[in-house]
Amino acid sequence: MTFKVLVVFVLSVLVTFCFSQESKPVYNVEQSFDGGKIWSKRGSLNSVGLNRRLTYIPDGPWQIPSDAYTTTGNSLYQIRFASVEGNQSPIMTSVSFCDVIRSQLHELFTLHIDQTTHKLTSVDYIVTVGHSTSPFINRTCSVPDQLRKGNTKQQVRITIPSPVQGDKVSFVGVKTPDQKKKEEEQQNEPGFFRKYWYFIVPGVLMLLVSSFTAPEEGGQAAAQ
Amino acid sequence: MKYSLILFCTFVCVVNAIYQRDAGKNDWSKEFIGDIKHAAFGCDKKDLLVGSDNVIANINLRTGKITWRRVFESKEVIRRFEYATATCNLITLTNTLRVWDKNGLLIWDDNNVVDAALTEEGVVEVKKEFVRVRSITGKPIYNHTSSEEFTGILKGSPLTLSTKQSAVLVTSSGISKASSVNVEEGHKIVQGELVTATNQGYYAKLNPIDETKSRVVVHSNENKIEEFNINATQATLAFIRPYTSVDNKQQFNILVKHDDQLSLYNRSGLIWSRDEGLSQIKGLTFVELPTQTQAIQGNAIVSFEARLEKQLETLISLARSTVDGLVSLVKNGLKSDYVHRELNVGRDEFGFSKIMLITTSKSVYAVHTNGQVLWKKTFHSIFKTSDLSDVKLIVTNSPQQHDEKPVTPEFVLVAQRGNQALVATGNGLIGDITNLETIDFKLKDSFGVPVENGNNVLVLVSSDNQVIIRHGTHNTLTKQVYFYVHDKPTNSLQGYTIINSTPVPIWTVQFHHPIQSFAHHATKLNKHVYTNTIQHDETELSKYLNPNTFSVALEAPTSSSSDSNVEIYLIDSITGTTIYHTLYESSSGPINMLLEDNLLLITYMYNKPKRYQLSAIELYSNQIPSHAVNVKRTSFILPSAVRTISSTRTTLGITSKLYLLALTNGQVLSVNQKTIDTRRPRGVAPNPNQAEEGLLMYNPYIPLISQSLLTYNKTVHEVSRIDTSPSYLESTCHVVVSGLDMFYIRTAPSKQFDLLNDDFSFSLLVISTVALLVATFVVKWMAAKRELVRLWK
Repeated sequence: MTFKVLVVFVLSVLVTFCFSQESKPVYNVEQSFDGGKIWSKRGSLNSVGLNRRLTYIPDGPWQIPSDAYTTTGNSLYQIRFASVEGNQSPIMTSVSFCDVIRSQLHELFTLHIDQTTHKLTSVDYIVTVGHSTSPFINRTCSVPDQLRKGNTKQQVRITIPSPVQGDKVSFVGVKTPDQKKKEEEQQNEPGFFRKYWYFIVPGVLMLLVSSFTAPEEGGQAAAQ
Repeated sequence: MKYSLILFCTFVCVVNAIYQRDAGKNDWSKEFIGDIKHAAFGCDKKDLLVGSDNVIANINLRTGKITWRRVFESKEVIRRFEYATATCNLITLTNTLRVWDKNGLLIWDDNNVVDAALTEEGVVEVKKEFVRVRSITGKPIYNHTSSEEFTGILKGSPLTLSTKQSAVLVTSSGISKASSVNVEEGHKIVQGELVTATNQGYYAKLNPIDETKSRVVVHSNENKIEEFNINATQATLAFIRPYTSVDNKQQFNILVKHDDQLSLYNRSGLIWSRDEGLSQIKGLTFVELPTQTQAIQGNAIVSFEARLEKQLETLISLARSTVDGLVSLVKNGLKSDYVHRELNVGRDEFGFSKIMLITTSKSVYAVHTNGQVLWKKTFHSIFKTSDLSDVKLIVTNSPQQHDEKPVTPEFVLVAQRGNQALVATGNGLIGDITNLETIDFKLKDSFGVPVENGNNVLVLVSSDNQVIIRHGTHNTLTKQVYFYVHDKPTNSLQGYTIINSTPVPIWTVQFHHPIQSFAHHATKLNKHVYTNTIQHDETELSKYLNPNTFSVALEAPTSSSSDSNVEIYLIDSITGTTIYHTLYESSSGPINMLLEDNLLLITYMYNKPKRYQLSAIELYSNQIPSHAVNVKRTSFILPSAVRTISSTRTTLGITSKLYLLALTNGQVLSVNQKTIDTRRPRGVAPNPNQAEEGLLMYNPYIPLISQSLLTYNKTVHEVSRIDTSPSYLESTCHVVVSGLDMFYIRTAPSKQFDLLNDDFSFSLLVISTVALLVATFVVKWMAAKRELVRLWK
């Protein structure tokens, strides 16, 4: 009995582990070197784990088609994310191809995801070359042999920022009319002495009078 | 006490009012009724009652001016408009039935009325469950309930109502089934002719003769009794009223609505005409007037002679104006020494005279900043068709402040008719169309690309990705052109660049909720924007100034369907990068945005406490070069909902900025830059350094101070846009507020520090100077004489 319980427990843990590691493609990542005429698949964005973390899985080494680009400039490198389920239009972005070459495939995808529908809204594609990348600037560069042969490892980072919470109105330091009235009343409130002087002054006078008269009676008694 | 003082200072600092004597001097306003759909001649001979979708008004039949006007909420649409000539009462039905007297005073009203009518018995009021007949004063006469739901009135006499299943006859004794119903038609276009009829047996037909005239033929019981021409075509509404003139002759008034105009004619011609087109402004562009002088080209002697000639003319005009001033001084005394500037259409030295090119749904206008309509052209007369999509106006040639020779302003109108794009080029001064081109392609987008000298090259993009350039060539476009298109069906934005005359898509943003609002930078960033803000602790904040950004606002429902969030995206239009993305929880529209320099202003409603808020987001560049920006934010509570938002603009950007909020009560509130500064300290009073910088302590409320209302005691109903333009003077800005009405004002956010007052007495100055000169010589002579006498002694 104990053994059966143990087996069931181990099996359930294994199933959970396997399920949690199951990677399901959500978006196909496609690339184009010719301004969007021909698209080829480069990898996919997979949802991994119970928390549906998005991870980029390449389809293989990154290769440039032989007829796409040689040593001329003025070219765009375009990436698009197409939903596997086909329930939305592809999301596209572009950078200058020369910048991709210079970065040696150090890429950063910033994915903006809608909070309600959990669908992709836009992608910011940045290649780390140390300066801002406009998608089309007249540059020339040559493609290294390593890239042509597909011997360069893709280093893709993905960030999924959440929207910044909007600023709220602050009432710190702002007093309501009731608070202001109370503060004014407190400021205008007279001190303890001013409030009860008609008790204190006669009391003090009486004390003084009694202190003066008390020794005289003692003196008179002593004289007697 | 300390906080009260600071609060008082806040209010004092932001007050910006005009004097009573200045009211009407630098501003004007026009009131409109809108697209007139209903009309009735009043029982009084000088009354004409008209109604548009949500406005009713009484027009003086002799002058065409509005006597009184009532504006309903914009969501109300008038379904019934009936006038009782016997009692001089008007009833209007939206979702509320209202009964008015002849002076526009409301006698009584009732809500949730399905239909209503004026009958001999009184006012019939139909609700879903019952029908009630009341007198004009509102006193119930009788009412009946029914098991079937009433849906409307079919006929007024006998009173016949429709229910969900049948028609019923209603009398004072009860409800019975109606056997057959003849439904009357109102005024309609019958077989191409506009026909209007009265219940006295007269009817008139309007037949177009040519493009500008129509023939009116009046009949009485099938006999033609009168015919005459009127200057109106494309009439859509007409009414005829017979009357007997002073000399006992039968006369007719014909009221005709054509295009945007309402005109009254009789046999002798046009009596008056009202143009209502400016109540539906779609686009407005300020254009400079051409300079009236021309720089002389030639050798030094020629230009010297020309300069002398010009200076002599200036001296003569100065002498003339001084004499005029002296004469008025003698006549009127010192108090009213006041020189009125002549109304003219030419450019003036301060840039107060400009033209506004305005497009409406049917026409294009040129309106001078003094309120005068210079010219008007209907799209029908330009394009020879009414079947047009949204017409866009782009200014391609614009005079500049320092032109050496007169430059005529030119504009282009772009429209889509079926599968053809129509491009009309026109002269901005006189409105003549100089060229009309028809291009066989389906237009996806059209825009102007700014080039040198402030001109624009027209770029047309077709749906099959062709690009056509007009008023320039590809070579004129020295920089790469980027643009984006909003695809409404898919709710996405697609960015393009033009490579080898072909638009190439470069980025896509797909939104999953409808876009509520857009905000763009003005056409050109003010070149004098000061890029750095120096703080009290001597650190510098570098403003993030990117003229290619635009902002998008969405209203996204939350998991609980009754609530929603407002999402704001700030996107770079070249790369499609999302620069900033923020979310306001439990918020909803109406959302208005303004993007100015590095500041984004957003107005929205915060659902929980049901209040309207304004959020300010200022963007600063990060020290570390990256796409991230340093953001400072703050939020305020508004006194009421806002319809639109804009800001003043000046030539050099030195003058304080005023942010203009169009409130739903028809007023425009001006808010100072310091009020919405994101660096205002919260919870504590500003320290001496912050106070020196001019920072005020944060207060969550934006006060509604009557002196800060730009429209002072005027009301502009249903404001849809506020347009601003700088003048040549740094202190002054043109502001136009338009909606159902139109309001123009020249405002000076920091007071007119570079202009003398209008009541400055030049003649007194001249007299004082001359008197001092004379006194100097006289005293000099007297002093010399005394000295001589002294020496002789």
